Amino acid sequence: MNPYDILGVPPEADDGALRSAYLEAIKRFPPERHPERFTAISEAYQALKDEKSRLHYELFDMKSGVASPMEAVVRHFAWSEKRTPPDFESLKRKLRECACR
Amino acid sequence: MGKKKKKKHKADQKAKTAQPLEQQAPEYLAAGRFRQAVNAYKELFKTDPETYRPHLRASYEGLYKQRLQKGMVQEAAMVLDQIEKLAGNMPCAESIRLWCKRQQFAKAAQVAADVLGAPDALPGQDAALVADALITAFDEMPRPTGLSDPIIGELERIQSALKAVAEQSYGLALGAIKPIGLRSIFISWKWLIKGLCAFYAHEDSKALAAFEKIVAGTVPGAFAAPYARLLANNTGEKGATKEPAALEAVCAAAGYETIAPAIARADYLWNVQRFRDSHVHLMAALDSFPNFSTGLERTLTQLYYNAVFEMPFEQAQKYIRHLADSAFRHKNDNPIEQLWAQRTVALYTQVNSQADGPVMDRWEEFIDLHALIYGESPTVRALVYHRLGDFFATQAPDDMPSPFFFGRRRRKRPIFRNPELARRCYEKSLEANPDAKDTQLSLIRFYETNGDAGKVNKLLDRLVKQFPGEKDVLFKAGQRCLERKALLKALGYLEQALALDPMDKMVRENFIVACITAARNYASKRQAVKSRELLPRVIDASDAHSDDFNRGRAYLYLRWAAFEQLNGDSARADAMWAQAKAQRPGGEIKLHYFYWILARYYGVPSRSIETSEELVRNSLKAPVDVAIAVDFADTLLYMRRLPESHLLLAGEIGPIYRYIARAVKLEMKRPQAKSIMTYALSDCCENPALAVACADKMLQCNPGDAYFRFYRYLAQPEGGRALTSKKELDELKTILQLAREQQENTVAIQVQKRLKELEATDPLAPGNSPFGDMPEDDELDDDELDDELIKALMNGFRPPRRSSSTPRRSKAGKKKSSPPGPQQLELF
Repeated sequence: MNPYDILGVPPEADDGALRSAYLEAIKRFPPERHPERFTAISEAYQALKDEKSRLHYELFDMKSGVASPMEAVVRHFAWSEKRTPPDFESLKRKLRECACR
Repeated sequence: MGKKKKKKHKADQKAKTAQPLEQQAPEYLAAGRFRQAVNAYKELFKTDPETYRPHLRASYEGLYKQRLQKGMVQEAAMVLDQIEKLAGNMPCAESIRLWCKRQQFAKAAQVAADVLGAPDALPGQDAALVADALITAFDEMPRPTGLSDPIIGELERIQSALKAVAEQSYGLALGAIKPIGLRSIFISWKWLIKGLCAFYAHEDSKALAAFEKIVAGTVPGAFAAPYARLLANNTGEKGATKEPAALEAVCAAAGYETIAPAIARADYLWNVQRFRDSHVHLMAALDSFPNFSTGLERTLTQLYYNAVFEMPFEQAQKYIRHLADSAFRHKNDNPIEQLWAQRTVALYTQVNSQADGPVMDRWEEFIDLHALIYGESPTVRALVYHRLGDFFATQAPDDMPSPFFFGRRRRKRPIFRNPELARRCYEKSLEANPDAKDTQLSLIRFYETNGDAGKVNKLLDRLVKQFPGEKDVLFKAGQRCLERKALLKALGYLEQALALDPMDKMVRENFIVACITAARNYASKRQAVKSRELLPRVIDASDAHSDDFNRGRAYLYLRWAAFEQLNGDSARADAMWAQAKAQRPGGEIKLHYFYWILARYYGVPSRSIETSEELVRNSLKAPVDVAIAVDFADTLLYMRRLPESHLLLAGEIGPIYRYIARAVKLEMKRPQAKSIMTYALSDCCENPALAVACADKMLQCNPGDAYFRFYRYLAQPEGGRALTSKKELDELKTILQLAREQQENTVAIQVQKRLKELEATDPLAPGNSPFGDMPEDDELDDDELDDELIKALMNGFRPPRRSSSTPRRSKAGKKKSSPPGPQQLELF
């Protein structure tokens, strides 16, 4: 998963915004309760903390982060802050699709 | 079909027709051969309608479902007519499926209402079918008639709850379904709504528990399946689905409905290792792939453009060629794809190319392409050339100083990968960005390693002027001055660096070294005032109550005491002694032993150290104390690093050995035994039997202790065997397993290395490989093992300590490898 999404910041975020996002994230996910997430947040911040690190990450990072496209979807889902249900019409349509099967 | 087969088939048929229909019909039904079952039961129905009616109906129902599943709706409808005739034109729950298949939900709901109104009790599966039909009709017209009030009430509750879920009013949804009981025909819908509310509220385990209660084969069951799969994937459960339709549904549940078909197909192709096809598919399906932005597409970009570094060589070669061909094909106007591909090609060349020219070329092409797309960027140019400089300045593996090495060795001239290119790249980087501090520090390191002292000094002077307030620049300048014995200048730089970051241990230790060295110089020249001026600063930078010989406050007070003796001020020396004792209460013998050796080395008159000598001598004669033995061992190990230590310690080796040998017979704690083991395997110990005795003692209490088992293996004589025995390999494999279990990483690495050495010398190895159970280690060579060790070190494990410049071997030829010990700067 890419570090921007882990910290929930856009690519144009400056050092200050990144630090705020990082501090907020580690406050929400302390290491004793969310060890894996905390490590990912710390690594993401290390990769993006200043302009040089960001450029270094963009140019030279060689990690794939995930093993398959589906894993990318699952990871993004796991990290997403907001889950939005389908609207009522889509919900009806999907339920009827299930009934038609 | 061949003639023989045809004959055999006919014979089988004949035999079967000969069997009575009563026997054949249930067999067909059980085997899912519904057409044959219908035919057989039809014949039997003619003979006895009452007995065979249910069987014929079951056969028809099987056939009906089979046809519906195959999408043969017309044919299914004909079968359904037969079912209804058999039921005496009573409403049939199965027809609901047909109406649903035809998307006529109002009719399906009416049938469901009719079924509910029939006098017979509904079987469980039919009840679910009826409930599904009533719900999925929603507001279709005409509305079903003949429903009882309780059913209408529950139906409305479910439908309003579904609406509330869609409107994110989860409290309202849960409130609506609360009165629906476990016996209701809508119970699966209740669980679905509960699960969805929990899912969208991020209560994953609650959601999964609710989804698991839904009856399989129902509409809520089918709807909840992708959500449950997603949660199972999310919680790390294995065995996730690989079926494209199911993957699509999972993607949609995760919120990626629009791109779900593309992802599902790409995932399938990726998993069958058709990486290039998968990339082509995603390129065609997603507009924003690849990108340098954020979101799922960015993560996918990283996967597709970085996966090459994790692929087997041949696959990687094909894939990288494909990426380059795709990006630079005729009329491709996607600059982001080109930049990603060029980046990957440059990195891949750097990792895999033996030649330096292509590495330089690919990165210069990248810089040009980047400039073409985004305009000239000195920062990017400087960073790329800096990285190239570092790459060409890497030393050949054989030339890297070993992390084990603690002794003195004549410094060889380093072998860089390509020093000329390295220098040129650093210079180009500085041309692009003259203010790049890190590049200048890298260039200094390069010149330093290359022995270009003049260039190092010149560059450092410039750097200090350019960055007067940067800790790492000041620290580097301080270190350099310290090496050149320009102590006062070193002190100035290091003090500034320390002021910028008082918690940095390296800076503190270097500062202490500079101060002590300068203070000793002054003291030996009888410049007491100057010496004393420096020492309080050392104390400020030291660690209180620490047992570190360099940074520990007690030992620094002892050094101060020795300098005061050199200055001829015994009273001040005594005061310093008192301070030292206050820092280390209860462990005075260690202080006296340290002082006794160090003061002699500093040239303190012997009458001033008589007390310490006497106390040490008395201790050596007194009954043995394990804690004191450990103190002696630790101090001796530190002191052996003194220049000419063999002369200074000549009289100490024997008595200390005998004392420690007696201590080994007593009860020891594990850390104490480890300290003694370090001593026993070092040059300070005159007899390797001590290591065996120490290990045996500890193994008596715990035979599975990997640490002691390995060092006992190293210490014991081999008996002059020429070939590796199976027993020895087995022992090492057992130790390796134990070390992994006990997280003794340093031991595990050393055992692996030893196993490799044995395999290399053992002609029987191919047939009796000790590496059969650990394929991941096969590819490591010695240099990689060193990297592993460095990694282990960075994770907090200490390196094994080698005791002298030449690796010792035991009598039988086994390399004598000392257990881990602390790494310290030399401060005497």
